[in-house]
Amino acid sequence: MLQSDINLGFLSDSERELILEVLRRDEELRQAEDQRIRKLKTELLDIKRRGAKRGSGKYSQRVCGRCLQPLSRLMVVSCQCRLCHHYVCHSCRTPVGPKDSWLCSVCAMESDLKKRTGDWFYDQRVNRFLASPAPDLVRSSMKNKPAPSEYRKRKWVSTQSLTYSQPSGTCYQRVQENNMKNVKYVKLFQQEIRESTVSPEMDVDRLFKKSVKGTQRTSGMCSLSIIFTNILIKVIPSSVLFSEYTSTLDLRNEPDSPPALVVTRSKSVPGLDEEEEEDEDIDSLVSFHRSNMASSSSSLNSSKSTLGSLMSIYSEAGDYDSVEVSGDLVFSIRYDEHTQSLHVFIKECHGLAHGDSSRKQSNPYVKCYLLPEKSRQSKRKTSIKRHTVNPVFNETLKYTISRAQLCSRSVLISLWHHGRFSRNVFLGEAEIALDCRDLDFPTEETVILMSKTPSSVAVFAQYKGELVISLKYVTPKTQTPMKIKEGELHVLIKEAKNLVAVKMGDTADSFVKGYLLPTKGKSTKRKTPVVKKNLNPHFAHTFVYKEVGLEQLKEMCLELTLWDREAMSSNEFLGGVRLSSGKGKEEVEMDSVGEEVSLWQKMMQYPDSWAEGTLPLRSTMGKSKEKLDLLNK
Amino acid sequence: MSDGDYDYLIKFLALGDSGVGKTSFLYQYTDGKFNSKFITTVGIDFREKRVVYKSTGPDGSSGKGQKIHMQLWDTAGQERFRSLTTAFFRDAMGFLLLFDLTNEQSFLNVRNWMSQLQIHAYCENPDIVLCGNKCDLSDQRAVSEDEARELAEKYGIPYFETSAANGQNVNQAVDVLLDLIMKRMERCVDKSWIPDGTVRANGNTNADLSESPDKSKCTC
Repeated sequence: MLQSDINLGFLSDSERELILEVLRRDEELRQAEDQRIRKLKTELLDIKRRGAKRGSGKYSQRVCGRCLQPLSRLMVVSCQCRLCHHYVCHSCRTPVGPKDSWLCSVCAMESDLKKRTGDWFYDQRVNRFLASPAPDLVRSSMKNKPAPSEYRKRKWVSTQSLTYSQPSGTCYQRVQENNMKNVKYVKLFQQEIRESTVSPEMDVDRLFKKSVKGTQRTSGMCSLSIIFTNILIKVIPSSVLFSEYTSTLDLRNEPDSPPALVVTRSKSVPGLDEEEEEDEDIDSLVSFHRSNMASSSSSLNSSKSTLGSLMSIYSEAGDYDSVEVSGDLVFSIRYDEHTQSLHVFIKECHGLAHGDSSRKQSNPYVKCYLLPEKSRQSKRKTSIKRHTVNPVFNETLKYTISRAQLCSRSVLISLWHHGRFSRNVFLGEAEIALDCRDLDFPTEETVILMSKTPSSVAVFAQYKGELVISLKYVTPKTQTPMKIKEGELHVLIKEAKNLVAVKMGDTADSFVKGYLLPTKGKSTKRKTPVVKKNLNPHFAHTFVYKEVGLEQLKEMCLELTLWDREAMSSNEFLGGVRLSSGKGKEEVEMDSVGEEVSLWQKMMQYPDSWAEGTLPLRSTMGKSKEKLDLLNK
Repeated sequence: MSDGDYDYLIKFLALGDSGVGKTSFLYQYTDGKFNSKFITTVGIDFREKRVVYKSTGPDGSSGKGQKIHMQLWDTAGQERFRSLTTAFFRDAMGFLLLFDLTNEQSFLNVRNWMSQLQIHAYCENPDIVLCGNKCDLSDQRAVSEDEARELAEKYGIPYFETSAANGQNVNQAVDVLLDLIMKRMERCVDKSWIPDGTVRANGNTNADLSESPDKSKCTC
């Protein structure tokens, strides 16, 4: 994509086959490696989170920067970590290298990870080769050659990626079926909207009308309902969302196509990929994300359960009432080798809180995610039990996934009260890590339900991959004595690493979008081209912002977000970074932390030279200040 | 083969003229076997091996063993695959450059391979070990040990006389290369601690950004 393809026309058919077989083996190895790296980085994040002090905060020097234990007066002299400059106690040091040199536990682990993950190597290679690794290059080179025969083409495609894992013949047939189903549901949906003006469940209709008429009760409500309309309109052609919608109509078993199949569909229908994505939808989604994160008590009150379910697709948190959590959950988890799937058996609960406190009752159901994925593809629900705080479910929730992929994952089981005429109420949750569980001989287990932990909403709580960028401030060449000196900001988007696909086992068609805040509009919007089917996309694309002063940059914030381009529905958010000096005016969200701050400062400190960095991706762009503060306490 | 249960994934690549014994060398290293039949490599291939690496500090102390998963890329020596094989140079962390002690032309071509590496490897001076292979065929020898050592010294790289047939020095050559890589890795990470006005937020230090482009030293 970035480097011109290699001419491989000289290869014979059999040679081509042999080489592709080698590349396939390499792909296997690389996948295992990706998994290993992801696990390592998750561990690091975990330790970082426990480490108390943040780079940007102000703390007493008398306290260890890691464990927050008080330091003795004498120690303060020689206990600063060379890298992060935090003062740390003896037990939070790790000896490194020769002679008594040491680093604090987090920095030591970071530099150790640089070795273990091969980042020391990749960081150098990226300076010479912006293009993709050789196997990808060779593959794409072969792809561009007309395939010698139909048979060969098909065989080759099957080695390409997970997306094409099914023989193309049957896959196409399934696609057709799916499309037929869709037509049916679109009709059903439209009909439902027309008929449901009286149904309290169907608030959708009201929202539709409201946005059409443009009724402005409050500005917030209005813009939100427009967004809803956008979402809903986008929803219609997508079978992915449809399964969601139908599940609220209790047609659950009908469109029960496995996620993989849906993927196959959208990718294999010709022409769909060609469509240019619509930006404004992304923007509205981001702002939707925002407004949702910022105030959970906004005008969403009016959204009833039907909509609430649709909404949980887009929001990580926010749209629910909560009560004092109580009770426990009995469950078991096992892996079924035969069907290659994970079975989460939800048995029963005891002593749940009352979801409807006025009537002292609960209509509980269980919602389950296979983390780190928190998308609609990862969501499973049980049926709703009426009027009980001791529900017996005896339901099995299944995930089709290979055993190898399980190690770094965990199951998040949450309990919800289904409010027929009100919002759903969060009753408690439990997160179960899968890496050290015996999935072959499961035992029934009881866990105490917990309220939402602050860490599970923190912006860096989930490892979403990394973004490698270089920043350069170019000072103006000609001196303009009359005007204030204004230069250019160059942002080289090199690559992203270890992105987490929205659907498990899938890849992403990703692109990066940038804004230079405080101006969030067309004038500062920049985008890279889409890099297809790659969780380690190489962009090698430069955003240039002209006429910016060095002084201005201190007050500015560069927001870069990664998106998975979905041709038929809204693009999926993959992660983002926010670069700034970390302190600034209130209206700009300058909650940058760690390397986001240091890289920005280095860019300003050394004009006309590249400042390069690898930044961890945030799992949400919501305002995080309060949450970080929470963690810092 | 790979289950992710290792500490480091190290990628090497063997290169050199056609028929010098790259495939046999790697086969001897991974499986301890030798097949005298010549089967030309189609484009590229790779083999894997697990080893345990014990680092030795400057004071001679040895650290705890590290599990290494090695991916050893084998390349076709034939000219017609050149565009394909050189594309794979960039993905390797270290290189085994082989020539045939019984074939003078393969030795003369070492120069060309070195310049190919400078262009296509991940940095301008990657770690390389030079191997004069087929040293068991002493009666057919066409390159003297002294000549070969001289050349290796000129490039500042280690030299071994190896035999894929009887296994002589095969393990040693790979071990030395592994040691070079592990040391380089330490240096790369070390450098990022030194607050020398580096412009980078992480990664290796990059004082060379402003320097002349024909610098022979790589960033590490």
